[in-house]
Amino acid sequence: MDGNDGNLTGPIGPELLGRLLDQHADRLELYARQLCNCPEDAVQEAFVELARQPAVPAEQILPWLYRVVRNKAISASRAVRRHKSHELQAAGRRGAWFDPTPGDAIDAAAAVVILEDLPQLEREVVVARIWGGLTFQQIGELIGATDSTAHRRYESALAAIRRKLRTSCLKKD
Amino acid sequence: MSEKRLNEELSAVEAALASLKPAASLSDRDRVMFLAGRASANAYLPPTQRLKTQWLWPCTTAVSLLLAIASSGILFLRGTAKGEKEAAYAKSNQIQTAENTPQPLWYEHTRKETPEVKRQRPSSGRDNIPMDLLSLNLLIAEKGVEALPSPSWIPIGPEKPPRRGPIMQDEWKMF
Repeated sequence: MDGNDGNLTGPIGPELLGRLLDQHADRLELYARQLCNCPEDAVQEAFVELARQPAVPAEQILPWLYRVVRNKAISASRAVRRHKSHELQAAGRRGAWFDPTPGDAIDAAAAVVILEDLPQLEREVVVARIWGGLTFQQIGELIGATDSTAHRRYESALAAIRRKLRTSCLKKD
Repeated sequence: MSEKRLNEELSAVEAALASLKPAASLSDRDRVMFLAGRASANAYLPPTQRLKTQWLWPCTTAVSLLLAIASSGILFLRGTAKGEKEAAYAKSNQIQTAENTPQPLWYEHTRKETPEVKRQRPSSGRDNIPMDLLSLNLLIAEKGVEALPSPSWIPIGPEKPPRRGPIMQDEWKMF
């Protein structure tokens, strides 16, 4: 289910909301993690906001969720920067990005290090594309750019990741 | 991912990254569902009712507050005007009473006290005794008849000629 369950005419139901939570909460949190230190709060607020909507077209649910998560994560990040609370800073460091599995084609910890080195906007594009499954047009709308710009940033980010992966492999050898 | 093709190397990197599974969500699913359910309660209402439920109490509160402020203002202004009016009325009434109210007879007498009457009047602390009928009744009821002021100071008309001494024998003889 990618949020394309036909056209919604009324408010979102509990079953669909539960399914969206199960399938997208972790990916949305990974995306929010690129922007703030409390990704679960941003995701939770986004789902509550979704339930409050009188009607959301089915094909727009996922991009809508990413947009709301992004806005809430940016707001939370600004609030943290304002307060400069040590507790919140520490809270931001908790939680892993990925669950390591035997079938991983790349080391999860290394991927995190490499992704963290990327500029924030490129990280956003990569996460939204690879794990969020958004189209370049949707990513462009999300970051306030054209789909071409989004694609260009994606390519550039992948190229940078490839270079860093090669460098790390060479170091290991 | 069919919009724009990537070269093979970048596709391989993309596939490698896609093999990573995002960490499990830290959100409390039950809590999110509860909050979402509560938030969605309004979403199921028809638009007019939604507006009513959303704005009924805030509007009622705002209207009540405005009414309370307006009432307080009116009461304050009316109170001030009434106070001034009452003061003016009391003043004019006082003057009117002093000028037009018929005074008891004794009052006139006391006002017309002659120096002689004043001299005859006992100075026993009774100067301040009110002399209207009701006061006299109260005074009698409280202290008895003895407490009544001496009538000697109350003027009773023109002064009598001084009494002569006993009739002399010469005078008897005249009769």
